[in-house]
Amino acid sequence: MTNSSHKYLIYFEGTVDETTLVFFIKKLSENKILPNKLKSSLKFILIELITNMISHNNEDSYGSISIQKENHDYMIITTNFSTEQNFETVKSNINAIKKIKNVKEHYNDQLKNVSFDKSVNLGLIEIYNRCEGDIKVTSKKAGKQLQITFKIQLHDSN
Amino acid sequence: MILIEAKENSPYILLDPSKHFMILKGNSFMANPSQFYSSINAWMSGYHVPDGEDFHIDITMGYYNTSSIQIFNLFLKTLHANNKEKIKLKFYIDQEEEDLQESANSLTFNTGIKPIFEFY
Repeated sequence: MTNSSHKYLIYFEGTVDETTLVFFIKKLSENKILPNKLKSSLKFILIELITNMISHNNEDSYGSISIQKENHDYMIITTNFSTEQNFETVKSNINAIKKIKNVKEHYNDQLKNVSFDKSVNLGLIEIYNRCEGDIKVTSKKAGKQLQITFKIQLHDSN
Repeated sequence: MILIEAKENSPYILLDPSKHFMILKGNSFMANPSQFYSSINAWMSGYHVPDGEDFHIDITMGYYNTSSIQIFNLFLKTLHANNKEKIKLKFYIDQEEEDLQESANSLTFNTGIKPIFEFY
């Protein structure tokens, strides 16, 4: 990254659990500078991302989460360790959402399908909708594990 | 009666079937919401609003994760299906948190319940 105005608002590295998520939501709630709409979008995205990290961590729940400001945009970057299969599923789900014209309508259609025996994955749709599709997921080998990085950008208009 | 104290990521719940009301207040973004909501789901499956009565639900909205939304949407849908036109739901929403209305809409989407919104 070569951007000169790149600045961390919050950075966390360590064991990711529900306490971590509560910490981020509290920090954002206490922030008096960010506009309400942006804070709200950051919270909704972090809630889905961190809940997902807790559920899909591969043995080790170690990871990093940051909120950064670059020029007029805000970025959430998370890394965690998971499986190749999870990574491929997430990539494929993002590609599937990209092809959908009305993401909110798709969210509601999925919600209609929920039953006591069947849950649906609304988290990624929620994130995609909030960041207007500006989401990237990459992976790299880290020893025997696979490190997955999410990079989500929220534009100034949020 | 079911009483659950609030935590930072889970709501306060007071459910009193004898007085026909339930109150929820706060966030719901725990990692395992199905476990959290199991007691009220178990109660709901056998509950019918008595003749001549309504059941009132007051929800002061906080931040919900999508897993909680799914579970609570299904809860409301089933409660309404078992008690047609007897579920009266009111949402209380902080006017500085306008996005919470979207979550409230998702909670009631396709449930048959027509909620009332009050902004404070």
